[in-house]
Amino acid sequence: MVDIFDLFITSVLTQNIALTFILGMCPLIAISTNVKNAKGMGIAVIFVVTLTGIINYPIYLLLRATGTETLSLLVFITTIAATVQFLELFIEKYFPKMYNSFGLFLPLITVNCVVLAVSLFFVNRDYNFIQTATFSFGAGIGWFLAIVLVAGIREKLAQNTGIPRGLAGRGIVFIILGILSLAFIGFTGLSIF
Amino acid sequence: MKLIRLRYKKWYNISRDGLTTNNPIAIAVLGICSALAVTNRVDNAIAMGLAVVFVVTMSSLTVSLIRNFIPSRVRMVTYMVIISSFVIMVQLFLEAFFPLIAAALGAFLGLIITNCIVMGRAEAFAVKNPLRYTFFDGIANGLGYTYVLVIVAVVRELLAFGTILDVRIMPDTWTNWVAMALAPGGFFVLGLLIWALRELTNNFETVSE
Amino acid sequence: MNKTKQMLVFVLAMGLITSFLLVGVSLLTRERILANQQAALQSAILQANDIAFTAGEVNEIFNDRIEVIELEEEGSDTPLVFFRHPASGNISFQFEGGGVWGPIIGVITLEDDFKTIVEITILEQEETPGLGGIITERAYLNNYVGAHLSESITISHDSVPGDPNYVDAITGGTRTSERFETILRTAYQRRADVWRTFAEEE
Repeated sequence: MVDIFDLFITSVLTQNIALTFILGMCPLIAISTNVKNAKGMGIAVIFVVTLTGIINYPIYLLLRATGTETLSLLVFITTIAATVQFLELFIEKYFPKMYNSFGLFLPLITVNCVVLAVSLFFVNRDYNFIQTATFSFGAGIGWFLAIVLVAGIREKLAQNTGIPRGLAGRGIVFIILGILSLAFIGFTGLSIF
Repeated sequence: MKLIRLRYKKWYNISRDGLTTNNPIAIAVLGICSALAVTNRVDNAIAMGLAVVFVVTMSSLTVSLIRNFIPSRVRMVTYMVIISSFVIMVQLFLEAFFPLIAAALGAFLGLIITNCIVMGRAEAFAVKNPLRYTFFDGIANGLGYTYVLVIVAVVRELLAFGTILDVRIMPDTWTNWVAMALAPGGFFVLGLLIWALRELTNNFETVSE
Repeated sequence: MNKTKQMLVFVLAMGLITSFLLVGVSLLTRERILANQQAALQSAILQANDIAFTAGEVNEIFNDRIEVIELEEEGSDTPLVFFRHPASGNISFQFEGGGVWGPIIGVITLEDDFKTIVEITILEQEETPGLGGIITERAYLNNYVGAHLSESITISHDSVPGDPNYVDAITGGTRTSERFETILRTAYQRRADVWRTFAEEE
């Protein structure tokens, strides 16, 4: 239990998938203009990352048992795309309110490399099922945290006219991300127990 | 006289677009993950850049070739499948026949699959254009990506290790900036470079709020 | 409905074609890849034992000079493989485990005490180029020469000079270093007892 909690904290903070592994940057930069959208995208990513992690795990075991690991990347991508498609239809039908707030972002997630990376990471790290689920969920939360942080800062900055015109828009995001990832390096070595 | 006529050719415009006016990294801000991951050494940046030129061109050509058959709902997945099977096949061939190159490029292959430039070009260009233009578009975008990578890498390697292409440039008293080799250094250098490029090309983003 | 049908046909066709292509290519190249991997392992071991060889006759020289010892591991069907250089008593074995981005596979050569490291060579890795990727560089791996492989080998930034249980970590490659430490420790734990029992019986 302690291990699982530790793994969760690690995947959210110490090894934040956005700020220390630098993954999922394109959507993070594109959709962090305001906090509302950032939250929508973040929640969608948490959902999809956790679900695909859990689904891809038994599929990988099956592939490994049949000796066709060469295909695992291809199969992971297909699973992700199918999950996203399914989730979109499901939410649209049963939770229309939720769909209005973040359904828009679902198709974009297929191309978010965080999702694929999480599936490749659990293979590489030999996680068991519980660890995979925890790690997937933690990675999703970590990415959510990063995009909402960036969006919050961007919203505040937008009221400030002092930004040089060459840095306005997406340029300044790099500086924000640089400072944030410096801060997250500070978590290195953090252990709770 | 010939040069002036060239200006009007479509492929010239396409190439210029990828290299400067619509540079994938500096202007469109795509492919950032890999751009940050490999730019702490110049040799890595060059290797990654060339690999991307190759993969972008080839996968765009494939997409362009079958563009009339791809149903629009599943096109994203189609791109990803094409790109990843392409990369895996290249990797297997290299491992079988050129193991040394494969070992050197091994770490980059995963990064290429998730590189959104490849995806971006497939979606924005290849799926709507015939083969010959797609070819120029792929090469131009790949090279546009490569040179930005190399500039960032020169700055980072110089500050982080005091060398360029492993040749010592800085005096021995130079203190290495380790932060430059890590993620934050990449963010700062790339951010500043985008600033410089936008000032130079007079291409600004208007913030719509 | 027609559109859905068309889409399904397309997806199925795409899946089939790419799977066939990939499986086909991997079958075609498998033998050569395995041969290349074997050659890489053999030349790394020959190099660690200071045996001269040329690319063409790696296999011959290896079979001639190195003794392959397979020992059973409890609870596993595949034996643990050790490579001994009878002239010096050096023992080599291959280790592997998860790095930061992908697997790290390498070969380590120990002196006949099964403790002191003679050489480590990395055969395969996908660490961050320029940071964790430094793990393949001879200049870095030379730090391990003379260190002691044990359950408590420590790769850290504040290593104690002269203490053979500590090895310097890679600057900027903290996570790679942590993983590499785990890989070495597990590799040792799996093999130490098996090898000691074998050596004593001999």
